[in-house]
Amino acid sequence: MLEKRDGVARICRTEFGETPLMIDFTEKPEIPIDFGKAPYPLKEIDPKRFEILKSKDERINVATGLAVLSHRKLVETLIELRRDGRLLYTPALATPKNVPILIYLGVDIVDNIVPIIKAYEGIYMLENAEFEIDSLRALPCNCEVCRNSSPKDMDEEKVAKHNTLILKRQIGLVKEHIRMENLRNFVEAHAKFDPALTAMLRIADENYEFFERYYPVFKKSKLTPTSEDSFERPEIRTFFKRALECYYPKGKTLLILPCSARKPYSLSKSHRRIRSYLGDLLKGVEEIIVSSPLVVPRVFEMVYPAMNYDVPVTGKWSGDEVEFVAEKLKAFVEKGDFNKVIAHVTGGYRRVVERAGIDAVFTAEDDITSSESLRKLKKALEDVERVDFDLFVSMFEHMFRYQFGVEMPSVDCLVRGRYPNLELKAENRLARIDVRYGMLDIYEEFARYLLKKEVYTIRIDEFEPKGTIFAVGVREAYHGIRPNDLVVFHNDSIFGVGIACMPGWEMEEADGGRAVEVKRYWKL
Amino acid sequence: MVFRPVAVWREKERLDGEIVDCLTVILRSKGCRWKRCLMCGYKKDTSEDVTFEDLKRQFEFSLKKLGDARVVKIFTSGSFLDSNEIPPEFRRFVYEKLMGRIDKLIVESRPEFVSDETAKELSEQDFIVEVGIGLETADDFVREVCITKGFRFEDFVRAAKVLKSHGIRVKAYLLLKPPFLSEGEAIRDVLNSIKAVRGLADVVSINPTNVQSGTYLERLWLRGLYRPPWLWSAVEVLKKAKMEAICDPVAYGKSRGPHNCGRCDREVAKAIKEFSLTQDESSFEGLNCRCMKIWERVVELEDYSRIPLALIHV
Repeated sequence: MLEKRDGVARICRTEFGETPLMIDFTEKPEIPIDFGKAPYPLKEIDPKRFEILKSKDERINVATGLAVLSHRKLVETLIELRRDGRLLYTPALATPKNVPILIYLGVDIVDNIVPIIKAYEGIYMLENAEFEIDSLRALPCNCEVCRNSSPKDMDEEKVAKHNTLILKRQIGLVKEHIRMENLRNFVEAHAKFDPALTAMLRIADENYEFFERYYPVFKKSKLTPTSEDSFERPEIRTFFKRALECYYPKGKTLLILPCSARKPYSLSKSHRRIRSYLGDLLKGVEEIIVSSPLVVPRVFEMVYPAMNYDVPVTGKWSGDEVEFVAEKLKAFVEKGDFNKVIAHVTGGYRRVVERAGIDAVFTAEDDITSSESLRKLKKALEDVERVDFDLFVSMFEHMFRYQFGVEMPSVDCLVRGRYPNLELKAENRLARIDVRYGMLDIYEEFARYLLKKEVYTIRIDEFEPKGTIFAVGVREAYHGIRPNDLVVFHNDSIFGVGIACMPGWEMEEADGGRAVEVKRYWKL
Repeated sequence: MVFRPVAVWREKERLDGEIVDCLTVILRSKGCRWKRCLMCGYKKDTSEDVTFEDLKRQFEFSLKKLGDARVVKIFTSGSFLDSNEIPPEFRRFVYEKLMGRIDKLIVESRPEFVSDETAKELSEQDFIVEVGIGLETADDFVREVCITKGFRFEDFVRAAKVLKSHGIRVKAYLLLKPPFLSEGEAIRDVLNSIKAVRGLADVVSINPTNVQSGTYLERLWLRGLYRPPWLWSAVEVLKKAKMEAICDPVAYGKSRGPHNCGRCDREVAKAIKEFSLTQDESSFEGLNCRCMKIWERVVELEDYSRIPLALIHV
């Protein structure tokens, strides 16, 4: 039963225990699992014989022999195996090093066969390193085996036990990252320990369409893109895909600003300084913030991941970085009908604007908040064309479109609250910004509207939901729903909003597991 | 024109508990009629246009090395008793040449070529005859699906009974580690097979699989999906055989042949060969190597991994 998803990775409660889990072969387990005779890679070489010799286990998808595959083939095979919703067990594949990415790619069950065999070959494993036991001066570990021991005390059996404990600990750590929705950050950082892992992650990222089906659009964890491998992360690709689709700038004048460490940008010292200095001059002007790898129109600054990310800032930009960001900036600018672009940027940011081929007026000196820079910016903004729009309402409109794929109903409304905790009100509360997830929370009228539009809706059985709606109670679900999405559930007597725990298509397919956490509901 | 045999050499052989000289001849024939076994690469030692004359020349060439050898083995990369492969007149030629000169002749055949007629022919000679049959395993499923041998255990039983009824010795070849069997399953499979052939075969020959070029098995091996058995497994099987059991670990120590860790292969293979001649378990005394513990884990865990573990030589 599904407990928690973080992309393809998941925590399930099963008859074998809570997954992801490790079967321990140091303990001579009774394993009621059919391993079959032929390893899974035979499927491609000799499909007929594979059919006869494969594992016939009905509960678990047992894929043996994957360790012989190339990185590319392994990733592709795991993706192919994941089409089957059953628990996935990959015997004799996991090590403490590769287990994070295996779980990231959808493996539910692993074992300690490789750590045991490695131990007998004299290999001492840590979460991110392997040593020949004979080459160690001291044991860099305080597990129950290594505590108070030295390398010469370690026989094969002890090393096997230690390696097993490390693998277990790594799985425990991965599990917590899943709960925190932080697995990708961890896997990406961990992949740097081994080129093979980095290669696997890059190959995985080539398969955006596969990950997209499982990946949340909104997450509570902070996105930490730390290398160019991050550019192709599903979160980032989804952001650009949706933001570019949903960006409808109204203004005729565009101001390009650099990003800030604090998010949302408007709360940062630099942005506050600029905004307070310019005052009403910013009214009716569109803004796009350049970061790396993100490019964020001001109206999306409260959307995940723009709302919650952190990048290493050194002032140095690589050629690839400039290229990537420039391409995105250009695409956003092309969505507008701007007759004047002011770029208040310096250094690498300026290179981005130039690379994007935007005809911009540059107003910043070395320091964007220096009096000279600000004066020049003010001057540039003095006689530009302005279109009358309310930035906060525009934010709600853009976020609504980004989140639900339809236009926000045009109602006579106003924005209340202290930024960033804004809410949209008409007679009643319509929506508010959920700053934790970087998305909108909605109330009765908007929920009715989504029902009418038939988007992000879930038809449930005739019961009054308490706390959690399980997949068994779901009759039909909008297939575009992703975990963490705000959804509208309904039956003949009630409707309400909740947070999805699994993709919509999975709610229909899965036999069990948490589908929706209920927030509030109303009688129809 | 094929005048030369594939190979011919002198070696030691067991005869009535005695160790004697033996001439082994591998003739180039038309080859096996079945030729579909997944591990078999003997096709390369055959030729479609081998004639009766060629066979005669090959055999005559080989006999020059006979000397005082008391046993002769004739292998054909096929079946000596298949008249399509080996003309009956050539068989008669062989008997005539060997008459009065040797004590024992060893040949090989698939069971379908063993008939009352062929058995009778062999029984009429003035030397002991032993027919080796490539049973490979007593498990019909393994033989059919993992080897594609094309006959059933009951076919072997029939052939063995026919041979025995004519007083001919039966040798059962058992394959140690057919494709798709784990190291542990391979050991258990051979031990079960030995049990099954006891009483039918006079001797079992344990053949640790080697990876021959151009075979299906080679494709598995090249992809890391197969490893020939450990020599320790052969030792284990021979120790537990409880009947006359011999083993010639062809290509031992090579990655294509049965091997341990690289350090102990020569010594272990030597002990296996010595045991094959003496049937004395003391041949294995004192054998030890660090890799033995790895092998023990491998035997335990390959059941689950379904691919070779511990590929690296230590």
